[in-house]
Amino acid sequence: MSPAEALVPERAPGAEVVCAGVVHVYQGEETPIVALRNVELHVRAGEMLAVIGPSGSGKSTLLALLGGLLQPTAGAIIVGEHNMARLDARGLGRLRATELALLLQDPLQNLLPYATSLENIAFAQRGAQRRGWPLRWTGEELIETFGLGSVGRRPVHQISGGEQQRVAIASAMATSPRVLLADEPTARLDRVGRDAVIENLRRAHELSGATIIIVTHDTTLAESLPRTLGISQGVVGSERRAGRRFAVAGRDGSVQLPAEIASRFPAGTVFSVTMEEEETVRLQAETGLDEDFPSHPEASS
Amino acid sequence: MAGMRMGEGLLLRGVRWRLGLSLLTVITAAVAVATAVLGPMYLHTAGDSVLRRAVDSAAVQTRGVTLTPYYSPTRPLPVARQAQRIVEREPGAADLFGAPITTAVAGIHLHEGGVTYASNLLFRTGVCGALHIVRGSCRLGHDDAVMTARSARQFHVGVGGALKVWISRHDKLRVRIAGIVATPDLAAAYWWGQGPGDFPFGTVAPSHGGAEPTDSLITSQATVLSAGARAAPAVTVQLPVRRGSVDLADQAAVTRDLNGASAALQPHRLHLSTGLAGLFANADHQRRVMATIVTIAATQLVVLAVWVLGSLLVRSGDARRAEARVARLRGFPGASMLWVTAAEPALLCLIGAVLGVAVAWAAMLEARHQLFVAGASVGFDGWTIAALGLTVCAILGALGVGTLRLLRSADLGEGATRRARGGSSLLGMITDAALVVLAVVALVALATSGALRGHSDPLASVAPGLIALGVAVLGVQLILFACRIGIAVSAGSRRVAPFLALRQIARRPGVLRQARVLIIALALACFATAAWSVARTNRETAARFQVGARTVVGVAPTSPGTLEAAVARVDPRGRFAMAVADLRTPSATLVGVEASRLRAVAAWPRPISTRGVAALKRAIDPSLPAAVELPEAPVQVTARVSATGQTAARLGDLDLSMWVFSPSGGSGIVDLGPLHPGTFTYRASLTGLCSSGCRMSGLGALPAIGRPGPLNGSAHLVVTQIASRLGGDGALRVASAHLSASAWRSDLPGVSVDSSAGGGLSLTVSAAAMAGDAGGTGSTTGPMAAPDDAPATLPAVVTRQLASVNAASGSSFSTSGLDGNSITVRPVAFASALPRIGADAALLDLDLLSNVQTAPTDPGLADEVWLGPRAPRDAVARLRAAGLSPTTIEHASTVFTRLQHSGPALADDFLLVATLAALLVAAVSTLSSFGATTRERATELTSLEVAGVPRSTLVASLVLESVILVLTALCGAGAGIVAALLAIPALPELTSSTLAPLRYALPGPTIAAVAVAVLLLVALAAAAVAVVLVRRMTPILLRTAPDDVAG
Repeated sequence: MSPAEALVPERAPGAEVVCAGVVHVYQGEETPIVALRNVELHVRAGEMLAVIGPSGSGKSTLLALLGGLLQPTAGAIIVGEHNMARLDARGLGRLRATELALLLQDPLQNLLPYATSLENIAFAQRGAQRRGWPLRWTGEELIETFGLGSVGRRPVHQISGGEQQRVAIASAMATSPRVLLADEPTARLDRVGRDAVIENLRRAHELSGATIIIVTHDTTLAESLPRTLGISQGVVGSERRAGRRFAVAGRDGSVQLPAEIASRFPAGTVFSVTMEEEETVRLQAETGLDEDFPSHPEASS
Repeated sequence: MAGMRMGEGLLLRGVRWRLGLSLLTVITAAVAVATAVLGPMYLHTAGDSVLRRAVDSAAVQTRGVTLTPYYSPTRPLPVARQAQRIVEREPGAADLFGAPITTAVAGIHLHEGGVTYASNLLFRTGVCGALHIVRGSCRLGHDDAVMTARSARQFHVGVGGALKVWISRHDKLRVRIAGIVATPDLAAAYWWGQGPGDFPFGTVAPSHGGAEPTDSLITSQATVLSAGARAAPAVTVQLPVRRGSVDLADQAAVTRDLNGASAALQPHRLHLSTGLAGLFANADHQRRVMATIVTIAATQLVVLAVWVLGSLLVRSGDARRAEARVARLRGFPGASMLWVTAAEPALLCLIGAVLGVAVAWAAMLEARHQLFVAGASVGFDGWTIAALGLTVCAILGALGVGTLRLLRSADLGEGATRRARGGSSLLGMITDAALVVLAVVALVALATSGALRGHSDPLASVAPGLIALGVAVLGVQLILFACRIGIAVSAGSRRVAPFLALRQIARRPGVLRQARVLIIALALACFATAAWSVARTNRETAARFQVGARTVVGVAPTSPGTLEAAVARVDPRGRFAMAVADLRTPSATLVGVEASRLRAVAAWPRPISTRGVAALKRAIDPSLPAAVELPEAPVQVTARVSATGQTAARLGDLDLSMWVFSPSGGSGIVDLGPLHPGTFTYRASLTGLCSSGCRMSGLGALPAIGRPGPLNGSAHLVVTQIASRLGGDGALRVASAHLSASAWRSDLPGVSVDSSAGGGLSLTVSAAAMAGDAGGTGSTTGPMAAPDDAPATLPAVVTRQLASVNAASGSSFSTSGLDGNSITVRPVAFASALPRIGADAALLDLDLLSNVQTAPTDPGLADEVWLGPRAPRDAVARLRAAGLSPTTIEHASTVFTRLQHSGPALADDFLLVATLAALLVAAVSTLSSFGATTRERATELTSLEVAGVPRSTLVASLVLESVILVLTALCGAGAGIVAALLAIPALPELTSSTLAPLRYALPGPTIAAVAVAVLLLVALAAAAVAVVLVRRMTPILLRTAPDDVAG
């Protein structure tokens, strides 16, 4: 154990991530726009999950909030032992250098284009080193682990997009983080590249035991992970685990229908709600409700 | 250690990754630092050079120190020695002064042939080295002396002979002549320019009532002092200042020492005189002019370079934003963030700074060879350190701003960049407005303070920068405004290219704003080139005007007529040489020139006179018969004589008389013998009368000496030939070809001239005329007819100052002729000043002046030969071969070179070089503005092409953009021209005022060449960028992140 490791309390490899009633509103061109509304999320330490949703659903905003890039308008975000809302810039910096790794969408946003893979990894480790955070792997080990031996000493602007993304993952893992947040890691990649990236993410998870949250709209990637959260219009409403689909009840009692079911009912469709058993609720679409219950008795008469 | 190595490695990789931007940053920082260092270094070295040149090029008497007592001490030598010791006691005296020269002079008289001559016994340290010994030696024992060959002839004494010297009426000294020397050349530096007044050698000074002056006898010091025991000799000590002994570092100390010495001499009633203070003052003035212009130019360039450097650092920050974001993403602590954001530009600036210092040093070493006098010191002084410090602070400020901006823009949160951009846009507008207001206010302040008037305020050099700044800011805003209007107009057009070009410019105003630097640089370049060119031309004009011609050779006094004859031998066709005689009197200067040669030789700037030089020649040299020149040879006149009345009876009592004039001997009458009826050839000798040639001033009849004249009737002569018999073979040379009435005149009543029907000059002299003037020796008038070789009033080019003093413009006035006698001058043209002569002078034809001469030439007359541009290289040697003895040679080129190395000229040189550096900075700015957006532009153009816009349209839009950029830059040329018109006439160009007409017309072709060259380069750069853009247009760009920006 290095002297630096001795200073750091023993921690689990992964960290728990919790969102409680998270709301995020940002200023649009004319009016404020609600990006996330009452998001409830609980990710266990060491879990690997995907957040999937269409463009504009708020998934990247969620990731930005988890990574401390944005501050929530309301609600709380806990990453490990840290309440993100209470961290100042220095605290956030320390967190990013040690426990929390962010993988932005474009691989070159995570890398120095003119540096080699090894140099990029070493560059990524510099912040952690300065803060005395114990590093579990050397650059060479990471290069080997992620199968980047052939491109390890080439400047990253000379390697393919898939390789760049894998170098970016290696760089993100270079600080031995407890939480890895990845934004669209397979975007703009061909199938081979995508598979290699997915494999690298799995390997990173196995290697580190870190909590990994991946924001994606790539269903292949999402389906390859044990847990997937569906997000739509700023609300985390569905979840899939082990091939089963689940709806998630919001703090206000709202339940979001899975997208393929919701698409069969126009907005405003009224459902009758019947509690059938202890944990079974029946929703019945009511099509002739206006005739049965006229809003204006005079009109019905 | 490994981490540090990796950090350095990454740093260098980053520099290489953004190589273009890195190089531009280094260049700009180097220019800023080089200018900041070069400015004070240049001022220091140029100041030293100017001072050294002022002192070293000054005459020895000006830069030397002369010590004289206020009184006549009985023991003058100890007093002089005491004065010398007092001065030499001063701390720097040993290095400053050369060997002292002591001069002792005692007045004496000499007697020869019943004539008393006034002379001196003269001792002067080292005099033997300055003399040319003709015979004997210069070893001077007690009571030994050397004398000039002229004196030896005059006093009929030779080497070894003795001479009685009268010290007073009763005391005499017997001196032995040890040697005979040639007449000393008083123009030599040894004589300290004291001239005949102090050392009366070589002049034919007229008698002033008392004894006739004659050359001094040069003796030993002991001899002079022993004589002085009775005749109180005057002793002076002269301390020559060594060349190169005074430099800028010593100036204050030398001034202090001289003041100290002067104060110390006062109690001893001793006087210290020197021209050093004046030289120092002149050098100080030049340094002040230079300091103002150089400081303004350097400051402008440094500000411009730092401005561009700031822009480059902002661009560099944009290019490094991804790295800063990665660093933030990985939670780098503050120090590491600072390293990531600031290390690279700091390194580049550091390299630039070191390079700048090296460039400045190298430039100074080169400039020292090209511009400064040898020995001018190159080095850092306090000002250099201060300027370097200020510039480094400015660079650090720009670095800080760039770093802060990068840190803000690298914020991973949303909105930071938007806020920064919004803030910078507002800041830009405020800055623009502030710059325009500043420029206008400063210009108004300059105009109202009078700095833009006259020819003497170096502060005027700040105006071009202000004008350029204002035009640049306003010009860019106007073009942006026009582009926005153009977008609206072209939006509906089917021609897409103009719309795309205008939209591109309006969308990225930052690119066009970078053109402000280009505008300013071009304006400064146009101004500096014009200023340099105008000043150079004016200095050339002033130099030529000061000298009078390309070369002016002062020649030792010659026998009259020799000068023109020698010049005619050297240049018979009048292409390059002109004889000039000028007589300076306290009231005015009379200058006689060979008018027919004036146009080919004299530096005659057109604006100085009301008429051109060709017209002047015609005006001052009217077509008149040539003078009748007679050599010292037998003269003969063939005439047919008849008479009427009593005159016919007494014809034998009348002599045929010829009036002649010799410039050395004056006027005389030659008796050709009694008149004979019928045709007869009359002869006479001119020996002794016309040793250096004569001019015939009249021909007539006079009663023979001792015979009464006739009472009535008249003598009628038909003169058919006037000739001289030359040489031993008696070859006949006809002296006058114009024996017609029109070539002769008679001013006396009773004398008439007419043309004879059979040929020849018909001259009738009445008895009354002969009775009225018997024509004594030396008479200049008489019963004669005179060759009409000069008008009664001489046409002259007169300076307005002289004309205004003497008479109303256009009317005649009297002045002195070559003989000092009064002549009447009629202005035929007016001049503001005459080349070489000045503003208080009259210029006449030398021949006419000679023809009206009636007395010997004034000894104050200076003989010169002016050589024109077509003079051969060996012209002076030819003059020597022709018998002239040059004493001084002045070249206009020498004066021009001196002026070109004066303070104002050195400042102009710096200004010109600074504008070249400004153009380099502008090129950097333009290239960086192009380069910064290349990838982004290429991506956009690719998008447009993918969307269906033809590539030809895109290329056309790029061409239009280039045209708009060139038009924008053209504002700089306009601003430069305005600045030049406004500021150039106000800038000092010379070290002192000149009478030469200076011209301030802008050199159109030069300005056009500079503007076209710069604009062509801009167009080429824009074309190169367009080619790069078109080549980079590939669909793969559409897949790449916008932050992937390399330099």
